[in-house]
Amino acid sequence: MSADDRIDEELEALLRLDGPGPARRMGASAAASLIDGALDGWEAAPPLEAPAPTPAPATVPWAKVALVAGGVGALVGAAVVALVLLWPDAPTPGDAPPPEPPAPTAAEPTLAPTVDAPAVDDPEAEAIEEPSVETRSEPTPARPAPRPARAEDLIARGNRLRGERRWADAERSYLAASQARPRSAVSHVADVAAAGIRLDHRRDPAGAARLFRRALAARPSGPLALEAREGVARAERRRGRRAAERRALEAVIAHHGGTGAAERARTRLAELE
Amino acid sequence: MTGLPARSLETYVRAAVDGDRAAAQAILEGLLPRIRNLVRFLLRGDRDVDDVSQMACIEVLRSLHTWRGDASLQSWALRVAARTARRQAKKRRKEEARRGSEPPELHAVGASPDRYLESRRLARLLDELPDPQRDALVLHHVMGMSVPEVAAELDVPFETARSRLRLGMRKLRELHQRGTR
Repeated sequence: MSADDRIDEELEALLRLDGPGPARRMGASAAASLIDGALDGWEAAPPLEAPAPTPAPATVPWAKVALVAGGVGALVGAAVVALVLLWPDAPTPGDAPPPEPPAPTAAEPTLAPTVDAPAVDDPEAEAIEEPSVETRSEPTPARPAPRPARAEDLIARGNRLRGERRWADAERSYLAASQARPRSAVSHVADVAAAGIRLDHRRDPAGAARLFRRALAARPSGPLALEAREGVARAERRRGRRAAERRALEAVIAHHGGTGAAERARTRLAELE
Repeated sequence: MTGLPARSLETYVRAAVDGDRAAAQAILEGLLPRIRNLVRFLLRGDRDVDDVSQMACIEVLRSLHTWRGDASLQSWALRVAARTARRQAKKRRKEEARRGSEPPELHAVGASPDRYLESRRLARLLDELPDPQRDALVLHHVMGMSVPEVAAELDVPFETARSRLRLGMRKLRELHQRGTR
């Protein structure tokens, strides 16, 4: 083998993507921020219509990527775990449908919709609009109309539909539950659930922010108040409204100090400075 | 994506195509290290690597519905990323000339060169190659494309692609030898 050949081999060995490549080393939080920005950009943009490049024969199986990815890969588990912790019934891809969310009746079984004036964290928040619940036009029934579904049943149905990843149907069911018992503990839970779907699956951060705020207005200290406040911050971030996001993060810290959410809020606030 | 069984990859992709942010995030976390390295190989300097990597990630997600599973997701995604990077490299060439060169990277005196530093040094040598030769070398050696595939990707005749590879490798070897003397 000639000297040139040896050098070529040496260079070619470095022209690889696995292992420590030429990109500057990046910390886990910086990687997470980069990915977060990419996800925001993706959600704001429609899918590409143009065909993607013709696939080449597989060179490295995904499982190997997973192993090579190492520390960054660990973020996946953490993210999924965080998601599950944050919202216990959030669906995790590839798994069986998750358990249903806490039934509102379990938290506050008989709370009547007698709530004081709504207390909203963000004084500049947009007016809360009534959700648009799609109603199907059905022929006039010859028999007496059936009893409307109970709010709790609608939430249970929403949970089932969400487990089946039928996001639009699940959202409608939650919103119907919210309308059935407005400004109640039920609507608090239903609105947070619907907002989560709007934010994470329906690419509607503005609608999600409205619903999170409505949930807070119904029960400022409700069982999902933390999720709702953090949801407002996430939604405003997605919308690129930094001032509104900052206010939402400050509300998380003010109301839920000492929690992991407050810590995350502080970190994000520092990034916004 | 440690802990993610390979068999569930398609499930993740389907979920991401349906708009599932968590699934899309999981996919990007698996791909990002290699996308960043690829982008650095294709761009001059470090300054734009993360911006362009992020654009590449967005392009990957936006094109995800076209992945058919007959190639590895990584191989397919890297092609999408390479196209994005090369497109961005063209756009940024004029800006680079205006901004001037980056400050040199500082290394601790006496630090033993490891794979990371060697890899970064190689990327800086690539910075000195003409773009056509650089692109050909990266597509062929980094991404494992055959010469006909490189020719198709760069939209040049087969002989042109082969010539770029030969000249690029020779130039890279010279630069390497100059730096190690």
